Amino acid sequence: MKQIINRTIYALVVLILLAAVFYYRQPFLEMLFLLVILLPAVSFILTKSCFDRIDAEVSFSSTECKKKIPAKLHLTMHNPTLFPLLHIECLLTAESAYYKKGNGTTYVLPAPAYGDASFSASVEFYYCGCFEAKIAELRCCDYLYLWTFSKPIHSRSQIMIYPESDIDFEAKPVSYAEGFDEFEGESQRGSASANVTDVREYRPGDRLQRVHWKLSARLDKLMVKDNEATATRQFFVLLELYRSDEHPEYLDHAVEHAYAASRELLAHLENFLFAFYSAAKGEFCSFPIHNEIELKDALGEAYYETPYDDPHLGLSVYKRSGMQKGCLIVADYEGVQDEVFET
Amino acid sequence: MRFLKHDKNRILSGCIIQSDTGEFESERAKVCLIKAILMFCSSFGTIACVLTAFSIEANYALLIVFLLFSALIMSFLRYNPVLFDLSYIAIMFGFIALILNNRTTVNSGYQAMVNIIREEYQNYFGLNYTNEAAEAVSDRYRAVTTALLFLGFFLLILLNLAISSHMSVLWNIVLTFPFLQLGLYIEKRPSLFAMSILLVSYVMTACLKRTGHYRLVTTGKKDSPVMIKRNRVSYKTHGKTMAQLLAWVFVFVVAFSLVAYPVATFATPKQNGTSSLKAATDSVVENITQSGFASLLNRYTASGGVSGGKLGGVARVSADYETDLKVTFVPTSMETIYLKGYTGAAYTSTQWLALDDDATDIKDAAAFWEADSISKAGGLYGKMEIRNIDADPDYLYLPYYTSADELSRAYTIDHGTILGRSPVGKKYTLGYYPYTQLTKENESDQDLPEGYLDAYLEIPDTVSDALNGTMEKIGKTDGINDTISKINSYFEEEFKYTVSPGATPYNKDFASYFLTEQKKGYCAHFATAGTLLCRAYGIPARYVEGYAVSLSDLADSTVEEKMSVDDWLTGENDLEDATVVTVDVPDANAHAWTEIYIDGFGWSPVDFTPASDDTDESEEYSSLMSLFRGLFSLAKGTGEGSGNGGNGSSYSGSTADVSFSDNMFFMAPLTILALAIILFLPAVRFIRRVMEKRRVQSAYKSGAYDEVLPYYYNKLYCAVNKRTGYDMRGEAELPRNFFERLARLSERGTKALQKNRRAAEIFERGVYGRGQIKKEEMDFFIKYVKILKESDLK
Repeated sequence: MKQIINRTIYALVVLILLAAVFYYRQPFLEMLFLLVILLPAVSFILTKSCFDRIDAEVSFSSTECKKKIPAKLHLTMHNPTLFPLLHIECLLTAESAYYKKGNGTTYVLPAPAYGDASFSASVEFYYCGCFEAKIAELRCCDYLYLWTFSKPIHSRSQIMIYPESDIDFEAKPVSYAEGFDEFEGESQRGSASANVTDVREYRPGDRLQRVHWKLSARLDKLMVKDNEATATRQFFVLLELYRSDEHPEYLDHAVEHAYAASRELLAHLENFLFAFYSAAKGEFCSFPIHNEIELKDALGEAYYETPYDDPHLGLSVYKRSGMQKGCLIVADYEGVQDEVFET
Repeated sequence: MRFLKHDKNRILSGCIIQSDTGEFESERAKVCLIKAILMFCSSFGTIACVLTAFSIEANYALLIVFLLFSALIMSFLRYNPVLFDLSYIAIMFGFIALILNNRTTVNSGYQAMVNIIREEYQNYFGLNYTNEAAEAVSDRYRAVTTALLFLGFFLLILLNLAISSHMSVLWNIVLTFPFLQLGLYIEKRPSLFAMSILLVSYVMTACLKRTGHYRLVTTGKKDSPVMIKRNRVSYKTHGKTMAQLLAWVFVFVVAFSLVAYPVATFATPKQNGTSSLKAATDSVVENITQSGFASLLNRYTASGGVSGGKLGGVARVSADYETDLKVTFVPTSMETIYLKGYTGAAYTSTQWLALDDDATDIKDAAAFWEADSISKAGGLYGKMEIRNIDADPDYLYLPYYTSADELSRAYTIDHGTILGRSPVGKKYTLGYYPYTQLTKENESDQDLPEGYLDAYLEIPDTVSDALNGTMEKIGKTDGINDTISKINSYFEEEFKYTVSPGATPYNKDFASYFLTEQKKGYCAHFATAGTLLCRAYGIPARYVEGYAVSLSDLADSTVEEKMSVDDWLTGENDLEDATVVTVDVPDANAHAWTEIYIDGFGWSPVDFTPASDDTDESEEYSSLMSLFRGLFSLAKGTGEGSGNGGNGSSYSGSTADVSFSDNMFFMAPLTILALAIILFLPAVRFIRRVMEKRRVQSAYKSGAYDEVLPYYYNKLYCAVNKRTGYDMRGEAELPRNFFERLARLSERGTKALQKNRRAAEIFERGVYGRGQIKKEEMDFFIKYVKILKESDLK
């Protein structure tokens, strides 16, 4: 609309000036008329040549962040040419595979010659997930706002949003408690080592009880005893990637519950399996979790999955798969439910 | 609660970008500095244009320093809104106080500039005499510089609102262009330097206004560096970008001016001529130059018709061309018929008055004589019917030698003149003696009462000097006919007829001003001057107003076929086929003329108004289309050169044929440059294509097929994508993918496309692979491209 108005104004100016030229028949006005005729052409050529070389970049100041804690988003225009551009529009969208796509926001920034101009905004995340800020297209107006140019651009930046650390998780299912108690009991009796299946290097987050002190002394580096299950039962945290269009917060709740349950397990157990059902691949993806880093990695993998519409798809597929064993902890939007499968 | 501030769509998307608290470095100081430079360019550019156009001397260095410093202060005041509000009021008061304190010098400088400019206008219009404003300070250089400092500062105050706040190109032009026009109007060119500075300001404000990034981020706590509107976040200003743009605009404008100015001046003003519309407005400007702006105002109605002897209050006669009188009669000659309405005998500086009642002793005798003398010899006696449609009802409109006895309306006779009223819508009939020429046969031997003619020889003191001066120019005369002839010649040579002469200044004598300064006017001017000159030469004369019915009006008359000529005319008519006609007399036919007294013949009409060679401008430019025509047509006298001195230069030359070629010559440099600009890009594109084709041909001959293949591939790629509507703006498609897409297209039936596998293989081997391709393969590829380009792809 603005462009149409500007073009109309320009046409009027040309007409008025033409009338003035014929009225006065003065060189000065002829010059002015020529200038007015020439300006759009010059503006077009300069803007076009300059715009072709302009680039935009979007980036988050960090790669991960907690929910509800603002993260910095930087939007930068790079102009390697000699000519500055006053008006460059870029459509910025920040979206996640978990939630509906937003409309995005159009940012208008300058592009100074031989330099950058950047705008920083804080982004507040209300749900967990992997969010991607993306600029798909650059639009540019010439100096007189008569022409518009556009070009595709592929600048994106991701950020992982994890649940808050201080979630109050109170679910204490019977089997979970039983398994934990059993493991704790054996550990105290010193028989837990009977389950040792491997010895590996120490990783941050490993409990000190699992350190193989003798071997560590011999090899001169910390080694820990790894076992298939930390207890008589294998713990299995299943994240239900169910998405409700009407309630986008359901998926977020499920992630929160899974994260809280996993952290609770990590606080008391050696390891467990974190799993989710990948509808795209048609298989379960499971990750052995020994520490918080692995938990975040696993959660990060889950963030890339496409959610499904069935609230209990993960659990039902798991049950049908015939791979039931150990203790299954299902985290969905309602909370955490557990189920014990005896081998 | 924060959710409530954002739209649902964003909530569903899981995140909100808080743009309102975003960070962006606006570089406020730079922005203020650039705005100050723009204001300076605008104000100083304007002043410099005037100074250089009129060669007015002033202290440029002081002007530059003062205006730049003032512009900086005003611009930086906006840095803080509170500071601006307080300081601006203080500055305004300070400015007024300084002006009052230096009012003598400022006023003197202003008067000096007015005098210089007016002198140039005098020279342009060839005016002999104008008022010169008094200059109180003898040092004109100092006075002009001081006046310009104040003028520039005042301009800056206004520009600060126009540019700093609104970046308005329109207001920038409105505030500055009128000054520029002072020189432009009379072909006074500003210097290249001054003009470039002003143009920088125009172009830069246009760029910033159009893109909308000029709003200064102030130091206010709530001020944000961005504007947020719906889903759009736009930065306000950026000092660095603005500074760079200003530098480029400056470079561009100066470079353009250096190139274009000589080209534009190739068509000199003399060759350009003057548009006829400008020629029309010239008379208005000339009036202003001569008599000030008051001359543009009508002091009483000026829509045509009889004014009752009032003089000098009409700036422009604007006739409505509606019928005032309907006159039915039988024409007896081709001469103009005068319908006398008002007779003025005594001249004051602003009006012709009828004689007072002291002279009643002679009226009856005169009345008798007027009709009786003619009835003796003419032989013709006619009847006339006059209906007043819209004429002034205070007067009776009668032809010469009316017989009062047959007048159907009540009347009185005063000083030999029949007086009465003619109500609107009413008609009256009369008998009259159609009078063709003065001959010995109709000479009367009646003696006039003593002192009858004295009143018609009186000349007031206010006009005697002007009349003496004019008589010196006319020279001695020999008899009545010679006097009238010489006065007519003098008027035709030295004076100009116009319906927009401008009002006579209040303190001036109408006739003196007309004879010595104005030298242009309409019938009332010429009739007054003619009457007084006749008196000065000793011929009894009086001033008359009424309507003139000319031959052209007769041509447009309505023939009254049912009426018999014999009922309307007795005697032998020279016009044998004449019938009874009704003539519509419009208000534009209102006229003023002179009556002179000739012994033995009585009062005879003499018309001193010269024939006008140009049409009435009000008629000429009464519609938009006529205005448009006026713009593009050349004025009469083109090529004679206006401003050559003499009398009304622009109008004095011979009539030139206005042709298309005249306009084309004026537009030639402009047209050539415009065409060059328009043809530049296609020409460059064409040349590049030709060069590339030659390069490819050369490569083909030398066997460098790896250079030839991309050329043909590109042609094919563009042709296919254009025809299939494939969007080429996205990510570049790999050649392999392109050929695969072609293969899919080939399934639709185009045989040539089935060969695409071989073509793809040749292309990949030739461009990416190490294997050389053979000439046959190259020829196959070229042929394949040509076939595909001509095939029916969809």
